[in-house]
Amino acid sequence: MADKFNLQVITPDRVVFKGEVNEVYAPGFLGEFGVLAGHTPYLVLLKTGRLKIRRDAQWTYAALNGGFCEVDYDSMRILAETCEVSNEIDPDRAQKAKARAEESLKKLDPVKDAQEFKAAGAALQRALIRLEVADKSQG
Amino acid sequence: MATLRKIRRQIQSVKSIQQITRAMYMVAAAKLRRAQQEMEASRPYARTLDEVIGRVLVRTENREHPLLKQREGKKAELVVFTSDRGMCGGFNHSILRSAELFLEENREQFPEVSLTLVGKKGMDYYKNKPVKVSKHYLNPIREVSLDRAIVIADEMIQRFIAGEADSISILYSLFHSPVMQRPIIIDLLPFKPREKVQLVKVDYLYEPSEPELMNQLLPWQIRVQVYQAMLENRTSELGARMSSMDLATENAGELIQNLTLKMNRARQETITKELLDIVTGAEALKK
Repeated sequence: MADKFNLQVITPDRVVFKGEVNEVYAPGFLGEFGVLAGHTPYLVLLKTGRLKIRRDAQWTYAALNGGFCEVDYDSMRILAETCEVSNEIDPDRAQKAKARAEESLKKLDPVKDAQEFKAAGAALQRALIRLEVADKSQG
Repeated sequence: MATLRKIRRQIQSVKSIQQITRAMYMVAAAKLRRAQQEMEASRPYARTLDEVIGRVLVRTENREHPLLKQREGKKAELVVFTSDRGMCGGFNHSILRSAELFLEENREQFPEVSLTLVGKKGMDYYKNKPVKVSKHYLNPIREVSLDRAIVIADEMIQRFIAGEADSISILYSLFHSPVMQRPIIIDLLPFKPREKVQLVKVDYLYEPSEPELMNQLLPWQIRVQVYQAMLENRTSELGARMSSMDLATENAGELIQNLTLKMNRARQETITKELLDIVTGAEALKK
């Protein structure tokens, strides 16, 4: 296979992933971006979204929630607020979280309870990403 | 006879104290192990974040960010981490002594120092002291979390930007080992990079813009630093509790030994006395 580079995915409470990989896709501030070995130095703010990692022929998916990412020629560091690899996600819990978020979105007024509304929207987005990623692990 | 019963009762009470200290020792030991794991697990994130920020600061000339500005000012803020509960030896005492020392040493440079107290013991200590307390929080062992650290850190960032404090430091207990914890004071704001990095010529590509990224990175670093202080402090508290309860259990054992000796001696004495009575009584009857 082509050149590999070192990837570290770290959250405040643990090291989620560490190792040599071929290809990474992450949710950047302006949209998803891909990284291969030899990428130019790059510093990017991350959004809530899906993280895709390829090691040889095997893809790993993870749900990522905000953070930073630093890319260098031969390494990449992702500092996420939270990050769950697909097989760690409990689909039932994510489903419930989704239902809860939808429920509160219906009840809240987007103007009056702007802050709660935004929080519920973010929660819904996180739940949707988690569900999508959890789906990948089964398929 | 009365003294014998008294001694027995004393032994009983020391024994029940020993039971409590032993239980507290074991609880603290169990919690300590978990706290230590959590503390160690948070280190890679903090270290990497420091490295990233260090590299950014080396690469950019931009020092305009408000959190980086050194200001000539008279107002300082000290965040003091103590524990909510006692029974942990000199843990809180040594922290509060450092706080007093800090106030003493900085009187010239910062005539106005106010304190943010995290932990009930610190609150109790400064309740009736002529020191300005800007805010206080409880610090329960169970509720050490990033979310709680963010609340405190954001309050500090906001105070710094609003000009309510020109320099902010945090005081907490650094964990060396269960028998060794040491209070430490660290400058929080204005921000100074902690990691030394080599100068690199290539600039980053930024997304979004570099100032916007700094706006996100710097507060995160402050939050994580406060989080780490909380984790260290909790681990230290549990370590201090564990070792002081171990010592207390040992001391209680010693006390029980001494009292048992005393009790046996007293019992022996009464038996001897009774025997003497019987013998003299028998002698008298013979005659």
